[in-house]
Amino acid sequence: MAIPESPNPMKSSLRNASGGVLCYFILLLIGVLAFSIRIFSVIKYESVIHEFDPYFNYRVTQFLVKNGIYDFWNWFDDRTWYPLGRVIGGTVYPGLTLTAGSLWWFLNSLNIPLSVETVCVFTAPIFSANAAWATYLLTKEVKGTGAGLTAAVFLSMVPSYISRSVAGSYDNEAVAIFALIFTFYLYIKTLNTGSLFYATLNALSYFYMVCSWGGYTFIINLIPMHALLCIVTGRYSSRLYIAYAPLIVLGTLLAALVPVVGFNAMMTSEHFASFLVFIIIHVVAFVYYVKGMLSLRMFKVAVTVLVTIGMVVCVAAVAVLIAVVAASPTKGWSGRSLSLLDPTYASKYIPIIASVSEHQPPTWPSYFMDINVLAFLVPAGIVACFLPISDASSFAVLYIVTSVYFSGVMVRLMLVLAPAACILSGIALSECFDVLTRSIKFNLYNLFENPSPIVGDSSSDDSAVSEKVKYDRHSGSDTHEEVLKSRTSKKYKKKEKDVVEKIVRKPKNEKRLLVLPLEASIFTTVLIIILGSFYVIHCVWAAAEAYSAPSIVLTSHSHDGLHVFDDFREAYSWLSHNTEVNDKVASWWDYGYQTTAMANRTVIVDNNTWNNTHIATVGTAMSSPEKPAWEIFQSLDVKYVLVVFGGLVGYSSDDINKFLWMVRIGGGVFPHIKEPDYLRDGQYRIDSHATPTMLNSLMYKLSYYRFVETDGGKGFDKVRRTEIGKKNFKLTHFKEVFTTHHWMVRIYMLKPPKNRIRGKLKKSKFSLKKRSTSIKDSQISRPNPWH
Amino acid sequence: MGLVVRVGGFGFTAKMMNDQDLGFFANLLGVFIFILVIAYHYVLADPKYEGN
Repeated sequence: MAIPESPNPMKSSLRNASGGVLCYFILLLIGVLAFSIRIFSVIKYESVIHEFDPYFNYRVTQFLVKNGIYDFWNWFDDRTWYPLGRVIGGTVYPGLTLTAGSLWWFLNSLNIPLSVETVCVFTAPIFSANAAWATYLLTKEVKGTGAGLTAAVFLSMVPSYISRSVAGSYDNEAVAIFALIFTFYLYIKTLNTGSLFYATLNALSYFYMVCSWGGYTFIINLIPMHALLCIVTGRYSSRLYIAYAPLIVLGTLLAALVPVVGFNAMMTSEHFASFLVFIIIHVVAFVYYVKGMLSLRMFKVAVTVLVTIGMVVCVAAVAVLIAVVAASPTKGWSGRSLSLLDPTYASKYIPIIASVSEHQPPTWPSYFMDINVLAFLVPAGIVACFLPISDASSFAVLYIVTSVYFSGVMVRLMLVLAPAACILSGIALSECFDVLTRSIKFNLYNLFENPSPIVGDSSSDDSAVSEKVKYDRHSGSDTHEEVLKSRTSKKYKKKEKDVVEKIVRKPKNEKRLLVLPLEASIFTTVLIIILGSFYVIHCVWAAAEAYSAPSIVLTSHSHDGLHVFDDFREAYSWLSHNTEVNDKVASWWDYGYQTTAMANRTVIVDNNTWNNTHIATVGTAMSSPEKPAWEIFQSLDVKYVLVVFGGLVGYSSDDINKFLWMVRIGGGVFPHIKEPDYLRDGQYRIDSHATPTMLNSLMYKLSYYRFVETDGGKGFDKVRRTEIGKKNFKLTHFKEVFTTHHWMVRIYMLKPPKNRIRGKLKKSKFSLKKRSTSIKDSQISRPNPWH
Repeated sequence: MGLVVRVGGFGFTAKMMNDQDLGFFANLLGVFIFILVIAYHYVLADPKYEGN
């Protein structure tokens, strides 16, 4: 092997300068890519807010922009959850709204008159570019600039993240993922440098994350886990203390300032791990301090005494904690957090959480759909993190392990897995690129600048040289860490210098790099470019076809062209123009946010799902026959009932397919609603074999009223793929007022109560007596609170 | 599918990008960035070799 010349400082600085320029250019292109890949929805459809939750966020942003921040904090919304209302300021995570509002205000102050809707639509793509740059910074701290760039490229187009950050997806995750990655970056930066400045920034970034998303609990549990891991593996240092303690103190204080969190930052079990590790790290720091001051024998005595006292205190504290927490039915954990720890919890005890599609566990193919080739690169990245292990790389491993577990519980949390997968994959590929490019460069150097054969080690013909110690940027960073240690610790300067000198000497003694033959290197590089191309093509396809649909507008392709289904907006527009401002609209909670935002009408329940009893009331009404349902809605001042029906066009996410959840949720609070009454032999049916309870339910009637008129009397449901059981029936207590073009949304008005009963007084008295006895009987067996 | 827009009064017409154009641009940019990253690793590669 050729012995290289002594390093030329000019060449080295030129290489670094070129690398720096190239790095910034790549980062700029990554930002452009992250933005442009997310605007397929705007190109294919229009600049419109998507899904359901973003409509609430959009409405809140409109309010903030119109009325200012103080009215926003004190806003009580009486147009939702009628008659309860909702305290918006205290129940919303304000980060997204404040971010978009600030962006709108800033642009308008520069005389760029963008509408609030436009700013809201494009907030997510802008922050996805920021997230890609944050991933670069984080991975750079873990494994170097090359790994950072590779990870940033992956994150800019990973489908899992695209699904929640397309243009129009104005939801908390749009800014929260950026905040998550940036918080982790500042934590690692503090861990690497021991700087209080970065520690403070870390706390502020954590505060922004708490403002943005309930997923902040992931951070406040992962970082303590990592700190504990470092302590247990003997990697405690003053840098770890500086990275951890200010975050917990400042971060908790700042988190408590967010109204929706408040004292939960101290009282809920989700935060206890951070306090426990806070105590542990102080104990460890004290032990290290005492160890440095006492002799070995004295230290052992002190440890024995301290451990004894400490155990007594800990047992007492834990006993008190257990007593306090055990008093809570959920042991201090929120329902959603419990469902993460016990995946079967929600299905057993909280039907509302179980009914949400994004709370279901993912399927195996969804991993390949959402992270594609990264699924195969992650294990290689984990191995690379151990070669060699550092505080930062151990954090990356812990992050991927925990996020893989949580993504397996809930498909929505694939979003948290995406950055971890990109970081580990970036590390793996970067190590690969290091070897390949070094081999190519080395072989080209030998070929062109030093063509004569060199007599050297016989192993030069053997291309797979076994490596003894890999000298890469990371051992350089270890050396860098030691140098920093010497700067920060003045007292132990001499000792640190000795350590630094020893470490610096080590790489010089034995170092041999892995070099492959030129042809193999070039061929492998080409193969990896092809692999990367497959990833790019898949991501662009996913962004264009799978994740760009706004849900509010549906399309389908058939032999006679493209069909657009704009029934939802048609229905909301009808409500807006044909009903009074104070009219109340009842529907299943899925459509609450959209109805309030687009139709500007008061709703009974919405997607916030904060009141289970209220939702159960609506579910009971939908499950009951016409008259009891009318009475329920009448008691809630409802004037219109809205149902979504997909039987004509084949739209499967309609209310008939959701009906069993209405029954389950309603039956959870009102026991007279029993799920078996709606099933025939355990099967859910709407045809002639359906149960009478099902055929008489309000949901069935409102969905299939006049349905037979659409296909000449058959009444064939294209979703359930069967003819309906009850075909020709009349509504007694409801009146159809509007059905959209494709019958997807149907609106009914409650008929007003009858003024007087004619000629039925004797009969009603008789039936009243009979009813009272039958009511007594029924109350014994199936109490109905609505009679 | 693309919208033809007349810009200015000089007869200059600009066609708005459609989803296929955007897809092509995104694919090209993605592969280009990937190659640039490899080029970055090549530029910064420093094949020092030191024997015992």
